Amino acid sequence: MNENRKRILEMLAAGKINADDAERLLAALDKEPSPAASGGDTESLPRTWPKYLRVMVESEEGHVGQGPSKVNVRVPFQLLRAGVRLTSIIPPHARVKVNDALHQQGIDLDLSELKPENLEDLIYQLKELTVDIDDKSSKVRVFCE
Amino acid sequence: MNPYSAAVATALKPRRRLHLWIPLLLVWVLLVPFILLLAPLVFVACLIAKVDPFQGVAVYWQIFDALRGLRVEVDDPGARIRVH
Repeated sequence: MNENRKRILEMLAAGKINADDAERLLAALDKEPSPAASGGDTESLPRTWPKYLRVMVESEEGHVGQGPSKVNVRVPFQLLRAGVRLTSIIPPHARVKVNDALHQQGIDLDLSELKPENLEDLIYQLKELTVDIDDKSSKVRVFCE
Repeated sequence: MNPYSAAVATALKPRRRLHLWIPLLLVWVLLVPFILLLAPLVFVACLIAKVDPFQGVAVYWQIFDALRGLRVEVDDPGARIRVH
Protein backbone atom coordinates (compact mmCIF):
# COMPACT_ATOMS: atom_id res chain seq x y z
CA MET A 1 0.00 0.00 0.00
CA ASN A 2 1.19 3.49 -0.84
CA GLU A 3 2.74 5.24 2.18
CA ASN A 4 0.60 8.36 1.79
CA ARG A 5 -2.56 6.31 1.43
CA LYS A 6 -1.64 4.37 4.55
CA ARG A 7 -1.08 7.58 6.51
CA ILE A 8 -4.46 8.98 5.49
CA LEU A 9 -6.17 5.78 6.60
CA GLU A 10 -4.27 5.89 9.89
CA MET A 11 -5.38 9.49 10.44
CA LEU A 12 -8.95 8.44 9.71
CA ALA A 13 -8.68 5.51 12.12
CA ALA A 14 -7.24 7.80 14.79
CA GLY A 15 -10.12 10.22 14.32
CA LYS A 16 -7.85 13.07 13.27
CA ILE A 17 -9.79 13.54 10.05
CA ASN A 18 -13.33 12.58 9.12
CA ALA A 19 -14.46 10.33 6.29
CA ASP A 20 -15.06 13.26 3.91
CA ASP A 21 -11.57 14.61 4.46
CA ALA A 22 -10.10 11.15 3.94
CA GLU A 23 -12.04 10.71 0.71
CA ARG A 24 -10.87 14.10 -0.55
CA LEU A 25 -7.25 13.37 0.34
CA LEU A 26 -7.39 9.94 -1.29
CA ALA A 27 -8.94 11.45 -4.41
CA ALA A 28 -6.16 14.02 -4.49
CA LEU A 29 -3.63 11.21 -4.17
CA ASP A 30 -5.20 9.41 -7.13
CA LYS A 31 -4.82 12.55 -9.23
CA GLU A 32 -1.09 12.59 -8.62
CA PRO A 33 1.01 10.85 -11.23
CA SER A 34 2.49 7.70 -9.76
CA PRO A 35 6.27 7.44 -9.55
CA ALA A 36 6.21 4.36 -11.78
CA ALA A 37 4.12 6.12 -14.42
CA SER A 38 6.38 9.13 -14.50
CA GLY A 39 9.46 6.98 -14.65
CA GLY A 40 11.15 8.37 -11.54
CA ASP A 41 11.18 7.77 -7.85
CA THR A 42 9.27 9.79 -5.27
CA GLU A 43 12.32 11.74 -4.18
CA SER A 44 12.90 13.14 -7.66
CA LEU A 45 9.35 14.49 -7.98
CA PRO A 46 9.19 18.22 -7.39
CA ARG A 47 6.70 18.88 -4.60
CA THR A 48 5.38 22.36 -4.22
CA TRP A 49 4.17 22.97 -0.72
CA PRO A 50 1.64 25.63 0.07
CA LYS A 51 3.16 28.37 2.19
CA TYR A 52 0.17 30.29 3.39
CA LEU A 53 -3.43 29.77 4.35
CA ARG A 54 -5.47 32.70 3.08
CA VAL A 55 -8.84 33.76 4.44
CA MET A 56 -10.62 36.58 2.65
CA VAL A 57 -13.96 37.96 3.71
CA GLU A 58 -15.84 40.69 1.91
CA SER A 59 -19.03 41.96 3.39
CA GLU A 60 -21.31 44.62 2.01
CA GLU A 61 -22.32 45.63 5.50
CA GLY A 62 -19.71 45.98 8.25
CA HIS A 63 -20.43 45.08 11.85
CA VAL A 64 -21.75 48.59 12.48
CA GLY A 65 -23.74 48.53 9.27
CA GLN A 66 -22.10 51.62 7.80
CA GLY A 67 -20.66 50.18 4.66
CA PRO A 68 -18.57 47.41 3.15
CA SER A 69 -15.84 45.76 5.13
CA LYS A 70 -12.98 43.47 4.16
CA VAL A 71 -10.83 41.04 6.08
CA ASN A 72 -7.68 39.59 4.59
CA VAL A 73 -5.66 37.14 6.66
CA ARG A 74 -2.55 35.28 5.58
CA VAL A 75 -1.25 32.66 7.99
CA PRO A 76 2.06 30.92 7.26
CA PHE A 77 1.87 27.13 7.48
CA GLN A 78 5.18 27.34 9.28
CA LEU A 79 3.23 28.77 12.20
CA LEU A 80 1.05 25.67 12.22
CA ARG A 81 4.14 23.46 12.27
CA ALA A 82 5.64 25.47 15.11
CA GLY A 83 2.36 25.27 16.99
CA VAL A 84 2.39 21.51 16.72
CA ARG A 85 5.97 21.47 18.02
CA LEU A 86 4.68 23.46 20.98
CA THR A 87 2.69 20.42 22.05
CA SER A 88 5.96 18.57 22.62
CA ILE A 89 6.90 20.87 25.50
CA ILE A 90 3.58 20.67 27.29
CA PRO A 91 4.29 19.09 30.70
CA PRO A 92 2.98 15.50 30.97
CA HIS A 93 0.40 16.30 33.67
CA ALA A 94 -0.93 19.25 31.67
CA ARG A 95 -1.08 17.08 28.55
CA VAL A 96 -3.26 14.58 30.39
CA LYS A 97 -5.59 17.39 31.43
CA VAL A 98 -5.78 18.73 27.88
CA ASN A 99 -6.46 15.25 26.49
CA ASP A 100 -9.23 14.77 29.07
CA ALA A 101 -10.76 18.15 28.22
CA LEU A 102 -10.66 17.31 24.51
CA HIS A 103 -12.21 13.92 25.22
CA GLN A 104 -15.03 15.58 27.16
CA GLN A 105 -15.72 17.73 24.10
CA GLY A 106 -15.95 14.59 21.97
CA ILE A 107 -12.51 14.96 20.40
CA ASP A 108 -10.45 11.81 20.80
CA LEU A 109 -7.07 13.30 20.15
CA ASP A 110 -3.87 12.44 21.96
CA LEU A 111 -1.56 15.45 21.92
CA SER A 112 1.48 13.23 22.32
CA GLU A 113 0.69 11.66 18.94
CA LEU A 114 0.52 15.03 17.24
CA LYS A 115 3.86 15.34 15.48
CA PRO A 116 5.13 17.78 12.87
CA GLU A 117 6.03 14.98 10.46
CA ASN A 118 2.40 13.85 10.45
CA LEU A 119 1.38 17.29 9.27
CA GLU A 120 3.47 17.39 6.14
CA ASP A 121 1.27 15.27 3.93
CA LEU A 122 -1.83 17.00 5.20
CA ILE A 123 -0.37 20.42 4.42
CA TYR A 124 0.74 19.20 1.02
CA GLN A 125 -2.77 18.03 0.19
CA LEU A 126 -4.22 21.30 1.45
CA LYS A 127 -2.76 23.08 -1.56
CA GLU A 128 -5.87 22.10 -3.47
CA LEU A 129 -8.19 23.30 -0.74
CA THR A 130 -10.58 26.03 -1.78
CA VAL A 131 -13.67 27.10 0.09
CA ASP A 132 -15.90 29.67 -1.59
CA ILE A 133 -19.01 30.95 0.08
CA ASP A 134 -21.11 33.48 -1.80
CA ASP A 135 -23.86 34.92 0.28
CA LYS A 136 -26.23 37.75 -0.58
CA SER A 137 -24.21 40.26 1.36
CA SER A 138 -20.87 38.61 1.91
CA LYS A 139 -18.20 36.49 0.30
CA VAL A 140 -15.80 34.19 2.07
CA ARG A 141 -12.84 32.59 0.39
CA VAL A 142 -10.40 30.19 2.01
CA PHE A 143 -7.50 28.84 0.02
CA CYS A 144 -3.81 28.00 0.18
CA GLU A 145 -0.99 29.52 -1.80
CA MET B 1 15.56 33.66 9.63
CA ASN B 2 13.56 35.72 12.08
CA PRO B 3 11.45 38.64 10.92
CA TYR B 4 13.35 41.91 10.95
CA SER B 5 10.45 44.21 11.50
CA ALA B 6 6.79 44.36 12.40
CA ALA B 7 4.35 46.94 11.13
CA VAL B 8 1.12 47.84 12.84
CA ALA B 9 -1.16 50.47 11.36
CA THR B 10 -4.52 51.46 12.72
CA ALA B 11 -6.80 54.19 11.50
CA LEU B 12 -9.89 54.82 13.54
CA LYS B 13 -12.00 56.97 11.32
CA PRO B 14 -12.38 59.85 10.94
CA ARG B 15 -9.24 61.11 12.67
CA ARG B 16 -7.06 58.96 14.84
CA ARG B 17 -4.22 57.27 13.06
CA LEU B 18 -1.39 55.19 14.37
CA HIS B 19 1.40 53.83 12.24
CA LEU B 20 4.04 51.76 13.99
CA TRP B 21 7.06 50.25 12.37
CA ILE B 22 8.94 48.17 14.88
CA PRO B 23 12.51 47.09 14.10
CA LEU B 24 12.51 43.72 15.82
CA LEU B 25 16.28 43.39 15.66
CA LEU B 26 16.60 46.50 17.82
CA VAL B 27 13.93 45.16 20.17
CA TRP B 28 15.92 41.95 20.53
CA VAL B 29 19.07 43.88 21.36
CA LEU B 30 17.20 45.86 24.01
CA LEU B 31 15.68 42.72 25.45
CA VAL B 32 18.92 40.75 25.74
CA PRO B 33 19.77 42.00 29.28
CA PHE B 34 16.29 41.09 30.52
CA ILE B 35 16.45 37.70 28.82
CA LEU B 36 19.78 36.99 30.49
CA LEU B 37 18.38 38.04 33.87
CA LEU B 38 15.30 35.89 33.49
CA ALA B 39 17.08 32.87 32.00
CA PRO B 40 17.90 31.19 35.35
CA LEU B 41 14.29 31.60 36.50
CA VAL B 42 12.97 30.13 33.26
CA PHE B 43 15.47 27.29 33.56
CA VAL B 44 14.31 26.45 37.10
CA ALA B 45 10.64 26.76 36.08
CA CYS B 46 11.23 24.35 33.20
CA LEU B 47 12.91 21.85 35.51
CA ILE B 48 9.99 22.06 37.95
CA ALA B 49 7.51 21.57 35.10
CA LYS B 50 9.65 18.70 33.74
CA VAL B 51 10.13 20.42 30.40
CA ASP B 52 13.38 20.47 28.52
CA PRO B 53 14.34 24.18 28.73
CA PHE B 54 16.44 24.09 25.57
CA GLN B 55 13.64 22.46 23.63
CA GLY B 56 11.25 25.05 25.04
CA VAL B 57 13.42 27.94 23.93
CA ALA B 58 13.85 26.32 20.51
CA VAL B 59 10.10 25.91 20.07
CA TYR B 60 9.35 29.50 21.04
CA TRP B 61 12.09 30.66 18.70
CA GLN B 62 10.52 28.63 15.89
CA ILE B 63 7.12 30.18 16.60
CA PHE B 64 8.65 33.64 16.45
CA ASP B 65 10.41 32.70 13.25
CA ALA B 66 7.16 31.36 11.79
CA LEU B 67 5.48 34.73 12.27
CA ARG B 68 7.31 35.91 9.17
CA GLY B 69 4.71 36.35 6.46
CA LEU B 70 1.77 36.64 8.83
CA ARG B 71 -0.57 39.33 7.59
CA VAL B 72 -3.85 40.54 9.01
CA GLU B 73 -5.77 43.30 7.27
CA VAL B 74 -9.16 44.55 8.31
CA ASP B 75 -10.96 47.31 6.43
CA ASP B 76 -14.11 48.46 8.07
CA PRO B 77 -16.03 51.70 7.71
CA GLY B 78 -15.15 52.46 11.34
CA ALA B 79 -11.53 51.39 11.34
CA ARG B 80 -8.67 50.09 9.28
CA ILE B 81 -6.12 47.78 10.86
CA ARG B 82 -3.05 46.28 9.28
CA VAL B 83 -0.61 43.95 11.00
CA HIS B 84 2.35 42.70 8.98
